[in-house]
Amino acid sequence: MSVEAKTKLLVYLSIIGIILSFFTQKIGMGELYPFFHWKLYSQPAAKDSLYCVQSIVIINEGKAEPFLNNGSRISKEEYFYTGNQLYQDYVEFGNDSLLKIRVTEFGQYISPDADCYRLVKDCYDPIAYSKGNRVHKSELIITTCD
Amino acid sequence: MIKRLKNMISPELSQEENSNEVYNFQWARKILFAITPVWLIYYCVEFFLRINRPQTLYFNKHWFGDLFAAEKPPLWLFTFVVIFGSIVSLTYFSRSSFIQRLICLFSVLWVNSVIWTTGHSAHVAHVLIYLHLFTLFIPKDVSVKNVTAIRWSYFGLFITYTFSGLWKVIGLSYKFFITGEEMNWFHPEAALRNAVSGHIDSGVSFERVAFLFEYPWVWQVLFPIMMCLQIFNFSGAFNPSLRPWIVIGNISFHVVNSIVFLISFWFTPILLVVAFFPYHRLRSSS
Repeated sequence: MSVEAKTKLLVYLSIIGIILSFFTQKIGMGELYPFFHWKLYSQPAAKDSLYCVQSIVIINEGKAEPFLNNGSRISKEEYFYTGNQLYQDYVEFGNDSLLKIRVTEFGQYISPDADCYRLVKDCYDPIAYSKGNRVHKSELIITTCD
Repeated sequence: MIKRLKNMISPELSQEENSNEVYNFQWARKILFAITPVWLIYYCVEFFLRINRPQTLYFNKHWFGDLFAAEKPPLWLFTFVVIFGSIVSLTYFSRSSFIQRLICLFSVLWVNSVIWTTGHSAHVAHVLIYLHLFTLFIPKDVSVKNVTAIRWSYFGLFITYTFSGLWKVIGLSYKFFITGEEMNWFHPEAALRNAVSGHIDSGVSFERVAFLFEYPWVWQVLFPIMMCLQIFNFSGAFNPSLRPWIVIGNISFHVVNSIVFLISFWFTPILLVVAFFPYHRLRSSS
């Protein structure tokens, strides 16, 4: 087989991989071929929908403290990504005790001295947000402050 | 008509144009193998910063990860892959074999797949991985007889963008004809909503880019241009005169995404420049 034929074969396999990955993703089997997480594919959210993020809130002496990125532990990107992943797994498997363990572990990882942690879902109206209105609807998903 | 179209996508090229292609490829590849260790070491630092991240927060996304890094690897293993991959990458300058290139590809993909689980800069290495993947079979001593294989390797990379363009067309058609949803990429608020969500995700103040959305029509015009550019990316593979425009378009796409929508692609434009810089122009001017 020539170099050209082998390279061509790689490209064909890659295309098949992309198409199959679309379906393996859809049925919840993950990506067959690393492709859909390259962030090249986005669709805008529906007109009336709010934009929601799930994140960990740190609780100290009964008061919620904002997550401060002091650069030593975790980037904001990782902070929101992890909160979102915890929530998505929870929606998929509905396992309360596992979520609690994960929230505790993640909380201790980013802020070990806090009393306890909450996983919350904050929903924003993107248009209001763009005009400086940061008011959002907050929903508690789970708390470790029992 | 069909002949003209075929000629545009894959024109007959002179001997000189073919040898320029080979020359450019050789230089691009040298730089690729020189910067691969830089990337691996950068990711090693990122891994080190996350050494205490609990195992329960290891979110694998694809089958390669399931197969080769199903659990968070220990620091020694990660460091070993980085050092070994870096040394093997640099051996390109003495000799290169299929195995050498395969080890480099594996190291880059494995390291990326581990860092991917944290969500940190998960997506910025796609060009690096595809450049290693599609040039796997192309020998170090390339000659004009390998020029079609080189172009096929470009095709493999560009088709990724073509698929992302088609993805948007499918999304648009689905919304137009099936769900009847009002929000699609032509909607005046679409770009704004996307930019806001990017800023919320990154915790960055939106004011820095708010002025860019005062005229929504700008984004309504830019979107179809960008979609066409993505769909026709494949045409840059076999036509060297179209290629610079496609690459400039892709770089602009990544830069705008990084600055305005905060989908950071900081490494991607550098790699696109490395892979497609017209090195032969420097040769002729010197």
